[in-house]
Amino acid sequence: MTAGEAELAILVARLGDRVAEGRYREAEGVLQEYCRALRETVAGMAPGDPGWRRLEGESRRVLEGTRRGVLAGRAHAGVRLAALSQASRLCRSYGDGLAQRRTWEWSA
Amino acid sequence: MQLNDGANDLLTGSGAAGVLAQYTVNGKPVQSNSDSVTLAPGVTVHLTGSDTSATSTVTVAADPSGIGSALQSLVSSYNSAITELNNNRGQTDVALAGEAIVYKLTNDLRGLANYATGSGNISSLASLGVSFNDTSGQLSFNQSTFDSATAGQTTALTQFLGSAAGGGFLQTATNTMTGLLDPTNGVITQAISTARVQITSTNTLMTSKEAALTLLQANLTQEMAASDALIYSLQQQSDLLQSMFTAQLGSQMQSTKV
Repeated sequence: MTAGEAELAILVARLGDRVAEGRYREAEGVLQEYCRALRETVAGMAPGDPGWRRLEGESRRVLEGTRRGVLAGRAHAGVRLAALSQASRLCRSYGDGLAQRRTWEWSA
Repeated sequence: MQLNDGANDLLTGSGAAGVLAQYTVNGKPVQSNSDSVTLAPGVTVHLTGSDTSATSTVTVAADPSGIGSALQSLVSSYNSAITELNNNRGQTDVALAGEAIVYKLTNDLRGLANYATGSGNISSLASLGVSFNDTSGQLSFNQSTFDSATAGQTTALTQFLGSAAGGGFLQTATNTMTGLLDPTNGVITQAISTARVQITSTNTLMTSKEAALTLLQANLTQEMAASDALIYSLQQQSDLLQSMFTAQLGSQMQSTKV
């Protein structure tokens, strides 16, 4: 494994971690780094080196895997957001009820 | 009293001077500057004549009808309290459901309703016409029973009732109500105090949770926006890399031909 490929492997792992953690802004920075490192690695290959084919396939898998991970995370966030909106409505309902306290109820 | 214009008195000295009212109670002479005279607590007479030889007899007797009215009021208040307590008992969604104070108040009030001395012609509220319904928990007052029980029984009635600090039913009732309503140690006072603390704590917790909810919503919204940006960026980078690899392929094919 070349130094470039070693760097790519590190960046792929870091990209996966950031996506799994939902840290998409950081993931975007890592993605930029990964693409830069990939371009440099390919550019540094000797003419006729068939290694770029392998890098091409690997980069496709990385980008597709990342995209799926982000979409899954986005869907999960959307479900949570919808649930929170419902909870928020319940809170507001309870808040309305506070104004109709009975005589023996008390509020600071 | 005199009116004077600066030089002469204007009022002439005509008319008889007033005198203090004088009367005798049980042979003891008394004077008063008012025609309204209080002979004893609750006994006031109005002097209307000036005949020194006239005699008036004031007869004072206990009036149980006032006590009957008071018992009727007691029964009405008791029943209202029991009804309210019953409304807060059971599995329905009521404010005091499951609160021990409901049972404490009920027991104390029932103890009061079942007050009995165990001796004497009048020994219980039941003997005064106040009966307890075991099914409904309500009291009822029978005026006829009361009238019969108290006829000629002033002493027995007075002994049974007693006073707020002198024993009898009234002291028991006073002690019971003080135990419930005392501003410092009363059961109801303390229950209200505890409820206030709980309400304050709950309101604080609600405020905290609502703030956390709002923050979480904001974070999730940002997360979704960031994911959208990343997806867009992925698409861009994918296109760029595709172009790069396509160019690489073209370059390799060209070098192969050469």
